[in-house]
This record gives sequence, structure tokens and C-alpha cells, in this order.
Amino acid sequence: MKVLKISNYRFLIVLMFSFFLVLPGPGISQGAIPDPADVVSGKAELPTIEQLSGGKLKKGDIIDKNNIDLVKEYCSAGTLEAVNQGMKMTVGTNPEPYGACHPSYFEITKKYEGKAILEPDGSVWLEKRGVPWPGGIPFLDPKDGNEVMACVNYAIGVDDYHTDGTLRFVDKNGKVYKRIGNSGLVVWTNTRTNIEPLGSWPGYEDQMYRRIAPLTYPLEVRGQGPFVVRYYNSAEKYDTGFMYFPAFKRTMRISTTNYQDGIGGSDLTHGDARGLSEPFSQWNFKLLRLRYVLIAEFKAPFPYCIDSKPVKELIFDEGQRWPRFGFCVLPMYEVECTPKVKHVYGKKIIYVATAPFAKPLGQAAMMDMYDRQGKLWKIYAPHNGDWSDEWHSAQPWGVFVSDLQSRHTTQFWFNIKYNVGLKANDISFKALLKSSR
Amino acid sequence: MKIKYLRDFKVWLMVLVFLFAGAVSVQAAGYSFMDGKLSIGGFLRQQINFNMGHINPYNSNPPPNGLGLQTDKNSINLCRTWLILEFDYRPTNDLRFFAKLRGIYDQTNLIEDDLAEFDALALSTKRYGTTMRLGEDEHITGEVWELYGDVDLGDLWMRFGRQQIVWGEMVSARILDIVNPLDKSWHFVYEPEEYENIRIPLWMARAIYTFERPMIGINDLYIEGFYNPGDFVPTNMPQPGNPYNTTPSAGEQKAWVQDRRGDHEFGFRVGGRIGQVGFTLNYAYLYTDDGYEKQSFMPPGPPSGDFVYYPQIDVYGISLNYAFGNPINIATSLEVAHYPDMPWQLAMTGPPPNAFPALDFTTVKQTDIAIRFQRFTRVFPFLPQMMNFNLQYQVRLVDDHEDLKIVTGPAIGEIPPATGNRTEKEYNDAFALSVSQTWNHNTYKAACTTLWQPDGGYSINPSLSYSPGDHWRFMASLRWWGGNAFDKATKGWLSYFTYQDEAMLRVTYQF
Repeated sequence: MKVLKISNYRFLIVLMFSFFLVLPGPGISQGAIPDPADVVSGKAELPTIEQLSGGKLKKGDIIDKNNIDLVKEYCSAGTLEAVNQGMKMTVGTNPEPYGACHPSYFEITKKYEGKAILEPDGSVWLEKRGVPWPGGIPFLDPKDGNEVMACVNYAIGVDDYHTDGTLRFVDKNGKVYKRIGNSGLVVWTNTRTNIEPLGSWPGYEDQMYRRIAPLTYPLEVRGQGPFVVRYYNSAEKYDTGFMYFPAFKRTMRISTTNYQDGIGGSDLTHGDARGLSEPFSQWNFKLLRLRYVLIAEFKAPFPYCIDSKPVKELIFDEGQRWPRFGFCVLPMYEVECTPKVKHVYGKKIIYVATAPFAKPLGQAAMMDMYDRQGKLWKIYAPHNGDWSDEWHSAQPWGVFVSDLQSRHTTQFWFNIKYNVGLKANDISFKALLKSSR
Repeated sequence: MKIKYLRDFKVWLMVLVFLFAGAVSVQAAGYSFMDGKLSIGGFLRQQINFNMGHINPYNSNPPPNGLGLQTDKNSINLCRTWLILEFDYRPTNDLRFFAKLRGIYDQTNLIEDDLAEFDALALSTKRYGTTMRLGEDEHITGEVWELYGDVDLGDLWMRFGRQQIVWGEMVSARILDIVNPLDKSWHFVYEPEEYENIRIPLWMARAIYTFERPMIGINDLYIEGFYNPGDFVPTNMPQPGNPYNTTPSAGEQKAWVQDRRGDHEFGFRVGGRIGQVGFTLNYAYLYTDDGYEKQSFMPPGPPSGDFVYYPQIDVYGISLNYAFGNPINIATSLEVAHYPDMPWQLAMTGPPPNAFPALDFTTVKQTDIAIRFQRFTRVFPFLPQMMNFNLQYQVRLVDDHEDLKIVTGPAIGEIPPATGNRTEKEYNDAFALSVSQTWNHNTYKAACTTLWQPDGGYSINPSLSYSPGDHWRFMASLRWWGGNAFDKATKGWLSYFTYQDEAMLRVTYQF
């Protein structure tokens, strides 16, 4: 009897060992995947999705709800739910480190490395308060959520941009039932690294950027849009905002709680642009961890968007709800953002790019939004894939925001031009009138 | 309703146009040509306003208190079809040409038996021809409403042509919005878009110079000016018999009407921000949009002559705006317009035994002030969209109001006519509360604007809009008036207009 029991145990051990070898598991053992921090510091190469999946996913394969388990630990909660609701991803190509921005951006980053100071109010200065940050990434190895989000605010790699786009409203059946045209002009008056004047724009040192974003159609709203001035230190000076209403032909001063309102009634609020466009002084930031995250690849195999519309070659899933992009994997900072003020959102989880994989616009690359009850509400993800040869920069074709509770989606498709040479006073009341009817 | 109207081919033409527009699949953005340089858009609209009040006393009362034109209450106040086409041509970033054409087909007294005949498309001044309206049909016309070109020379931007210039921010009030006259002839001032559809464009030049950098501590500093070389157009009032008529006068030929065509108007303002406070300083050299009548005493008989003047006025204005941050989150705007010599119509009585009053006018100091508070607030937690609140207070201060006399009763023998004040007191004030809420991604919108005068007058205007996609727009609204201020006998108070309660239905197809 004793001999039999020992034999049984050995057999069971062998059986269990074989069991683990045969069945599909989460991939190769954790020891073979480099730590994200090592990738960021340059000590290790960025793993591919193929490596993370233990070879079970290869370039060009589709990731859907049937095989998402292979990479689920590298997906945000919003991505997982989106896949569960029918979104599909194609295994794409990782970007090269330090390849998505103009070289001058990384040069200035290196030049001022270690010289940024972060004040308790969230403002960043060069060596001492009062000297504006000249541009580049202020914190290459951020220690906490405040430093990560300071990079979102102060590490913009463009000096201005112009967008022409379309907001497509997609209902829960995947049908596009409404469109709103939108154009945008933004000029940064600080952190300028591409076009003269570099650094700060004389006379506008107290401002961060100036923006107008008039709607272009339908006819009834053509010209309606805000003129916003964001200040360098939003804790000291709150935004200045005006709105032009074509129905009344009036430009009116507006309260800035409209950041919480959807653009044209869409799922994308005014405050969602670039992850978080509201004054940072109204939010708390907590760095949860540095992790690998699946995100749309930086260079698409073909242009997805022409004339502000998705091309017919682009595949959509669940009707027109989910554009099917190629995905890559990047090390990203996962930051929990909670509003200090009464807000439509309970929290946002924002995924912020690390320095080697920074893009000039949109360090906050992806986002999950939660409602005030703490339930997952929306996902915000970029339409990555465009490339500017002139500025050697990755640029998006817009973003999509999907309400995971109601299954309504807004896709914002645009064509963007970086560094068109706007002057600070090109963004003015006159600019609103010029685009109006 | 007149059955014979349905036999009118124009009715069926409109129906067919509507059906065709609905069937044709068009882009949401309208039509685009010449590599996107030319875009054409527009809309086709049918609106109908139902009379929920009473018969208009100016049409129904016998002379001299009315026209005696109408015996029964009309059911329809307005029935009109619009075809609006907008052409926007931008050959370069610095040049733009814009034209807004309007086709109008008014069916009001074609379908409404109880309205007397009136000219729905009246040209109240023979000078209206320069506004490029076709023909003199009483029901159908086409016109070039706006036509201008823009030139952007960087810091200097200019607009030349037939245009509207709108200053000020106030809701339902024209404090600094004083440049263009109004066409009150077809729906008075009751359009949902307030003045945009009735503000008569004028041939003007406009320029805005934006300073490149802040100067003397002022950010976004700009100077704006406009010049009207002589395209003077007075207020276009409803014709006798029109449901919105506001005078018992049949519009007899005046003895003389001051011809202001060719007299120039101009104005300018300086604007900017000092810190977070926005401001403008305004000045305008204008002629009154409304005419003022003057008669001559001819004792012992009635006065002679009826001369209409459009006096020149200077307007000095200032506006300020500021937005409070968290937790207040309110934007506030203040506007003041001061007229050192504002004309006021009077009816003067001559010395006894002269029993016949004569019209006259005088000038007094008048100041219009308004302050507005705006806030976006989430009222319904289950709705992601916020509610937009606007609360506004406006007041008109009239110096020496005791000197502004009108005749309120007939002469009795040698006792001259009784007179009262043209304006009952030194000030006439009102509150306006405008609230709007959208939901379901702006597919639905509910709004309500309420005007309340503390003296006892009010107007309530709720509306509901449905915008299901890119093209169709549906709107229903109500407007009713009430109160007992001054026994409903004084036009300056909202209680006077209780006979004009109405409901509106409007269908629009835009492309």
C-alpha cells in the first residue's frame, strides 16, 4: 500500500508538470520579459506583442474577445471591455525609441535634463520659479503622478497646429447617424521648440496656449466655437473663455465648467482633448505603476483618414463602431486622476507615454473614464498612424470615445498640420468672426 | 382656412420641394466645389404661428383707435416658407466671399380668412430697393440678404459689403447691438434666433486691427471700426392688417419724410482684456432707426403736416465681462449704452382754446444698462449634458421723464386733453431668465426664456427642438404674455401684449 501511494504521488506530480507544459498559458515566463523601467532607461529592448503572448500572436493576427486572454494583462480595463463589446485589434509594429518627435525636441530635453522644478501648484519652471520651461520633457524619470502629468502639460512637442475634422456619432447598432464638422487652431506661447520665437512668445509669457475650435457644419452651428486662453500656471490664473453663437451672431463670455460638456453633444467632452484639457490645478494625480499597454501603432500601413473622413479601406467592426487599427505595446505610466471639484467623471485612468516613446501631441495616449459611482464609463483612444515627414513626427488622425455603458461612440476624425506658423494674435476674437457666418 | 389655397400651384410646388429635399441624399456639409474652396449650404423651412391670444386691437378697433379692418379673431399669425442659400467662397486663406440669399413665400393671408389683406413683404421705405429684393409681390420674393467679402491682412481684417455688425452679449436685449435696424414686419421680434433673421444687413465697411502684443497691460487689444457711407434703412414695421401691427395708423402718406439716404454713419470700439476682465469702449454716430413725427399747431383747428424725422444720435457704450472660477463658475457681463440726446415722441397740447394736440418730439438723456450671469450646471445627474443658465437684468433710465407727455384723453370743451407721461417712471426694468437643456447627444433640446418686469408684466417662451440627424430639424414653441402693469395700457410693459399669445411649429431641412 505504501509503495503504491508513493508511485501515485510521483505520477500525479509528473502529470501536473505535463499539464502546465501542454495547456496554453499566459506566455513565456515573466523572467524573459524585460521590466518596463529597463526599456525606458534603454537597458532593454521593447518586447513585441508576439513576445508578450509567448509567440501565440504574430504580426497581422487579429486580437478579439476569443483570444484577448493572451494579452489581457497589457490592456486597460476600457480596452478589455471594448474588445468584449466587439472591438478588434490587429497585431502591429512597435515604434523605435526616440523616433516619434523631431530631433530638436529630444535635444532640448537633453539640454535641460534635471533642471525642471515642479511647484506644489503643478507649475513647472526652469531652475527657479518665474522662468518658464523652455520645452522638451521636464521629467525623464517621473517619481509621482504630478511629475507624470507635468510632462503632459509642459512637454508638448509642437508649437501650433491646425485641424479639420468630423465628429461622427455612432449609435449602439453601429450606425453613423449624425456628423459635426470641427476645425481647430491652437498656438502655444510657451515651450516652443520648433519655430521662432523659441521658448516663450514675447508678451504672452503668462499664457500656455490659445485655442479656437469653431464648428464647420451643419449649417446651423457653422462658426460656433470657443476662444480659450490657457495660462501658464492654471492654479494662479483660470482659463479665459468666450464662445461665438452664430444663431445670435454674438461672442459671449462663458463659464469654464463647459469643459465637462460634450462637444456638440458628443461623448468627447471639451476637457477630454489630449487626455485632460482642463486646468490641472483642479485634479489630483496618483501614479499607479509603469506597465506595458497595448495602444494603436504610430505608423499605419496606409492612410486611414483623408479629407477628415475614414477611408473605405479601413475595416470597422460592429457596424461602424470600432475602427480596426494595428496595435503595438509601449511602456506607459498609469495615472489615476481624480477631480477636486464636482465633476461628471469620478476618475480618469490616463496612460502617459514614457520619454523614449513620446509623441509631440498627446503624451496622454489613452484613457479610461469612470462615472461618479466608480463604474467604468468610457474609453478614449487615439486614431494613431499618421506621420509628418516635414516634422519627423507621429501624428494622429483623431480620437474615438466610446460610452461602454450605452454603447454610443463618437469618432473624431481629423487631418492635422503641425507648426503651420500661427502667431499668438492669430487666435483672437477676429479669428472667430473670420470663420463664422 | 381658405380651401382655394390648396388649388394654388405654388402650394404643391413647395410640398414637392420638401419631399424632394427629404428624398435626396445630400452630404451633411452641403455641397463643395472647386477643391473645397466653394461651399454651398442652406435650408428649407416652413413655419406656422397660431394665434393663441386675441384679435389685434389695432386691426379690429374702429378708427381712431384702430383700423377697423378685422372683425373676427384670426387663427394663424404667420405662415411662411423660406429657402436660404449660403455661398461661401474662400479662394485663399486671406480672402473670402459670402452670400446669403433668401427666397420667401408668405402664405399667411392666403390661408387665413379672418385677416384683412396686407402686404406681407412690404417695403416701408422706397429706399429698400438697394437691399436687392426682387419685385414687389405681396407674397413671394427673393433677396440677397448678406453679401460681403473679407480680406485678412494678418493683424488687420476687413469686411466690405452687406453685413450685420453685432456688438454686445445680452440675451433678448439690444444694449450695444445698435448698428443694424430691424425688420419687425413679419414676426416682430419673436423669432427663436432673436435678431439674426430680422437684423437688416447694411452696406458697410468694417475693420478690426488686432495688436500683435499686449500693450499697456491690455491683452488681446483690438480696435474695430465701421463706416456706412449712406445705406440708411429705418425699422421695417408691420403693415396695417398684419397680426403683429402696432399702430392704429393706416400709414397715410406723410407730409415729408426726412431722407437719410446718403448720410453716413460710423462707429468704433476698443476692446481687450486687463487681466481676466474683458472690456470694450464703444462709440457710434447714428440716426435713429425709428421715425419721430412732428406736427404744427394750427389753432383753432387740428394740427397740420406730419413730418417724420430720423434725428442723429451719439451713443457711448461700455461693456465688461469676467468669469469667476471654481466653485462659483459664473461668467458675468455688463453693458451700458448712453444717449445724451435720445429723441422721445410726445403729443404736446397747445395753449387754450387749442384743443387739438400735436405730435412732437424732444430729446432727453437715456441710459440702457444690462447685466448677465451665465453658468453651466448639471441639474439632472443622469444626463451627461449640462444645463445652460443665463440670468439677466436690464433697465432703461430716462432723465426728465416727467417732461415726456402724451395725450391720454380727449379735450372736453375748453379743457385741454388729458396728458400722461410717455414713460411712466424714470426707469423701466426687467429680468430675463433663459434656460436650456439638451439630451441624447443634442438630439433633443428644451429651452425656456422668461421675461419679467417687476411692475407687473411677463412673457414666457418655452420651446422643444428635435434634431434627429444631419438634416431635419423640428421645433415647437409657445409664447404668452401676462401681467397687469398699468392696466395693460402701456406699450413699454409686457402686459400690454396679451393679445399676441402664440404657438409656433417649424420644420427645417438643412443641407
